[in-house]
Amino acid sequence: MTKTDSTNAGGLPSVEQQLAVRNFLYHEAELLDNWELDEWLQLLTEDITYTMPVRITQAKNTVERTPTGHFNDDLASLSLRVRRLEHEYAWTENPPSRIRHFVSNVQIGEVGRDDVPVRSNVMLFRNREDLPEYDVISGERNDLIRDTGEGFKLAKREVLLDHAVLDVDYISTFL
Amino acid sequence: MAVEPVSTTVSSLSDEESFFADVREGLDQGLVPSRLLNDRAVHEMEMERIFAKTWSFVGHVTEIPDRGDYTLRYIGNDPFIFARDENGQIQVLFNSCRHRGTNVCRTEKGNSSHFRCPYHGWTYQNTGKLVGVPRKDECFADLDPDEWGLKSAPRVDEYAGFVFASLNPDIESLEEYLGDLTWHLDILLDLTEGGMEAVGDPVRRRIDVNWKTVLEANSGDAYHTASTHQSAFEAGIANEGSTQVTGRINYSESVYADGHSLMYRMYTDEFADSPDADDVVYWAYPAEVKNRLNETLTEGQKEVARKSNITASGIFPSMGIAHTATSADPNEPDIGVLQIRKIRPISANETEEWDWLFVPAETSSEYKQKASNATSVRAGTSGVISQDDIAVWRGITKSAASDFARTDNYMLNYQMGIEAQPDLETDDEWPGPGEAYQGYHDGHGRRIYENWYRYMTEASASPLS
Repeated sequence: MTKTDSTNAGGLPSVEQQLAVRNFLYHEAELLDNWELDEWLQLLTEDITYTMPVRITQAKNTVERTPTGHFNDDLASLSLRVRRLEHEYAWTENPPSRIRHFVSNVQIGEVGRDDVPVRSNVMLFRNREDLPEYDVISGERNDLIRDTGEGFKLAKREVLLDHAVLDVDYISTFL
Repeated sequence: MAVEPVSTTVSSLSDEESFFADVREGLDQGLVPSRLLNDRAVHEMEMERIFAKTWSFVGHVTEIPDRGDYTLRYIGNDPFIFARDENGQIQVLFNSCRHRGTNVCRTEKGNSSHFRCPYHGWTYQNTGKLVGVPRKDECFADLDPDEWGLKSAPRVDEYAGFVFASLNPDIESLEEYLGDLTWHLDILLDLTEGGMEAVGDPVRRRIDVNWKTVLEANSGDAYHTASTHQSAFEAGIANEGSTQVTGRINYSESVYADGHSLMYRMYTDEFADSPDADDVVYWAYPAEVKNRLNETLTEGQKEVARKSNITASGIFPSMGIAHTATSADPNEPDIGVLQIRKIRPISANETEEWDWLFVPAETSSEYKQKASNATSVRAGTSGVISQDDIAVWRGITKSAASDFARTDNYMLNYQMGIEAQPDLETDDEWPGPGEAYQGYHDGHGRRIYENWYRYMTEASASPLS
């Protein structure tokens, strides 16, 4: 996905590039599902911004913009979150929830740039305690993925949830 | 799919008098019946006797700055349109067409001079006035539009730009309702010349917890922070300078004012006067805030503000305030943020939490961004503090629905600092009104249940006098 790799006319991604990006996103999802959060942090660039704005129902064709969010993070605050989750007394995740990220509809934007835009859908499944009920959260991710020469890293992510009022009490993982 | 982890018991309070007598006996000893925290019949009574009778926070004037701005808000669970009308006035209008009752405001937020009902096209100005009835001459020749406008909430009032509304037409004024709490709200909500400004839209989410558990946590309880929030503190949510972890240079002050409660975490005089404290006094707000304090604040109020690191308050029954010095990065200094919470009592085992971020109007847009960052890390959906609160609250709601809670008349211990155990004395040096106690104290919880009891058993009394 670097400039030298871009051999297709019009900057369209090759099959190899598509597979490589998909595998990166699947690998990221697997790390999150297994609570391997230090390894997940390694997939982020130093200048990462990770946002998940609040959605609010507005009239058709209204552009939604809100500075508040479910997440509004940089690497320092994401690291703080991971440090907390690794603590024995992070009560939300000790015992850990059973989570699974389903990533699909991966579309890669124009290659040949330093940071390549990648869109994907995400669905998070969560089951906790001894409850038969489960939570499902749906959303889309608008990412910028950077080929550092030593593998891909996530440079930016905006998660747009498909929920205005969330029916889950907290989000203790990352989407 | 909605999670229903707890069972609700359909309990008909067939012997209401005996039920409340049991509750009274418990409260007199500082005990609260667990069943109150997940009981369908109790919840129905609370909607009628508490939420329909009290002042409810609706929104802040800075959320609807321009004419035509509106947003959908709730009094209890009743939908109202919070709008700034064409004349610049604030309106709180019942979201129901006067014709057949469907909602005329169909989004959560927007800007519009009019609301048009999709059913038959009746059209209302954002003042509430009915200005359009299709085929009126043919169909409604005698209808007087002045009698068929959108209904306003029976009472609307405002404090420092925070707009409240009530379904009770006879309720006392907001200022009377707040009573001595206004001395504290002057500091918390009206600190600077420019006033507080909402940042973005509130986070809204549903938690499987009874509303009273949430209100109690907003009103005080310094006792839980060491255990519930240990993971967040050790991860670095509070800088050394903010002293939440060390405890050497701060202490808790619980204050009770006319049925509402506060918990101040204060710096000691010695620390507050030292140069080390320069950046962390006044909740670590920057110079542009500290230099523009409201001139109407007294010396006593300024002194309390100066020594404040965290202040939490609960306004009965559904509003929480948390003024906090916090940071999203332990290598960065703390900054001050104001979190406002509204509790929407969905059912006996579910609450919809609304979380707003406010900052003083004097702060920069960079500050607002940092405040948004810090707040999302600490509170709201992914907050490292708020998550663990909910993790422990869920179990309360679950056990409260049990048959055993009823057959055993299972009681919860709210006896910390009770008068029968005179380990704490009133702090006579507290400069403001209300009763103040240093150290750990369950008074905030006990007072919530005293309010609850008065509203539930004396429908016509003024419970908060």
